[in-house]
Amino acid sequence: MARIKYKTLTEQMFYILMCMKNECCGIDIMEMVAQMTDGRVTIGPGTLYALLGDFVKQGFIRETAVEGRKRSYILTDNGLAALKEEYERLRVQVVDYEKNM
Amino acid sequence: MNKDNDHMKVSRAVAYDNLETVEKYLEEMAGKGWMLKNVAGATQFNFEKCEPKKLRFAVEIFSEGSIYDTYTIESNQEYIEYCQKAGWNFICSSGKLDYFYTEDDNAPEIETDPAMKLKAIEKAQFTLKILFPLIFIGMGAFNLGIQLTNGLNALEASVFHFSAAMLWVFVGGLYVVMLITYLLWRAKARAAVAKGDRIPPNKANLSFKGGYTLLAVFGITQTVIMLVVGFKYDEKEVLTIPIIWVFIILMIIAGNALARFAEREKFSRGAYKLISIIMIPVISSIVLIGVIFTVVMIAGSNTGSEQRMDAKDMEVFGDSDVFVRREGSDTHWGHFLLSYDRYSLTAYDEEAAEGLEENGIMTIDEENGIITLDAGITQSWEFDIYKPKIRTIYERLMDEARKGTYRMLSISFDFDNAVHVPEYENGGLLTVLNDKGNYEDGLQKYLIYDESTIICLSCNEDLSAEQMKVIEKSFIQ
Repeated sequence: MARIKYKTLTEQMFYILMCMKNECCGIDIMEMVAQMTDGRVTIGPGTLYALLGDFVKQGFIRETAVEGRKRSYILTDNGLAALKEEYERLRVQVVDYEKNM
Repeated sequence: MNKDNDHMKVSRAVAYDNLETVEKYLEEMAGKGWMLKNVAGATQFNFEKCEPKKLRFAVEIFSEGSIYDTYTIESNQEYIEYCQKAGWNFICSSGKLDYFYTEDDNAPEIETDPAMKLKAIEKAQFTLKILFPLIFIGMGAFNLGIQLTNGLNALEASVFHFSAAMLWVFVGGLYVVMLITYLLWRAKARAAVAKGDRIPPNKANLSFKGGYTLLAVFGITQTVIMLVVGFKYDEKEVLTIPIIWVFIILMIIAGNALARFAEREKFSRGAYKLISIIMIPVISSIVLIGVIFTVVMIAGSNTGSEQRMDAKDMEVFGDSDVFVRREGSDTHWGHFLLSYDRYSLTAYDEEAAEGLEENGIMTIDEENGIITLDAGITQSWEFDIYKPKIRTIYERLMDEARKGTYRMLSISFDFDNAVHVPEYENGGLLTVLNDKGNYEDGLQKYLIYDESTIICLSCNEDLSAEQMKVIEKSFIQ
């Protein structure tokens, strides 16, 4: 399974982590992201499944409940930190753009 | 292809680095009114008749899957539910792959991160496309390296060695091509992913038919050539070559049968593991034995003995005619090359040699240190004999002999007729062939193992214990 080696998060990772601010079911994230972005960002089910596994290993999210095969997750402090870091990076990018363009 | 009105079976290779081709194929089939029902034994696609439909297919690697049994893994069920939620209908699992289809043009692709997808492909392909090629290229290079550093003589003069080398060139060459094309594709795919493009499919995969055709053409060609040449030159070892091919075919059939059986009987994951635990050591030991066997064969064929017998010791043989002779039927005369430096002048029967020389059978070139015989027997002490069977090779060897660069080749013996002599077991081993092992009545044959070399002595009388002791002392360390 792919591991997250880079400090920067891909757009898909960013949105998946955002969805998990409140406890939610992994399988629902595809729809949540589509709604959140008006369909601009789509996350394939295979990619989502793999990323959830990676995030748990990485300690970005933790499992909160298992109902049959449905697993729910919530963001951890590590995950929040990663999300904030990415946010800061994007913000700096925006500021730089405004300064220079 | 096996077909009736409602069902069709098609065998097809599935390459994990070119799954797009499989998806397109399944789309075409659905368009023609054949819907995939399942995939048996990784390569057999079973179709069922349906209304021609425009469908999208997705063949996805499930990395946590097992090559034997992916479907029943709990996490795969979860993965399938994710895909169903996104609008994909599950068809079947085969190997580490899950097969899906959808009628919905808007369903998102299952893998939307090319970098992760590429990693999954690379992980799934590592054993087949990197590890196997490296192992086989290594084994081939090792084998060919030994053969070539020992000189070309063994390769040229022994059909068995030549065919073994051919096999390694074929297998090694195939894997070199496989490895290079895969690495080139991998570099291209990584570059594409870095740019944010789609992963290009690896077009350099052999199709099912192509692979088997290549194997069959090589196997049949090699077997036929080896059998014809082997029988012509009376080398029965070459019979092992067809046996190797029969073994390969049996392995393919047995592997497929086992996979089908396991599928039908719904073997548990544990049972699959058990099969692999048993199969892997069995196959590895067979490969290992094969490697050791060829190494021993090669080593044995190229080591000459430097042993000489003292003139004093030879006196015990009195008037007995003791000589080295070649093996094989008497109808099989060939060109012989004797090594001068292994030739004992003291025991040399000058009278007999003159007779041989007069008849043009034997020529002695003392200046270059070569004695040539065009007959099978020399009445002299001689401990090694080179037996090239093909005229051109003989000539080349003669040339090498003049330069002093040639090596010895051992002779094959009929060990079924050998009688073991326990008292000569210490150090070396002396085996006496009984009458049945001789091609000429009244000749007793003594085989002496000296390290990896076999020295053959023939005598018209049984050697006495005293004579045996001399031989033992002279040849056995």
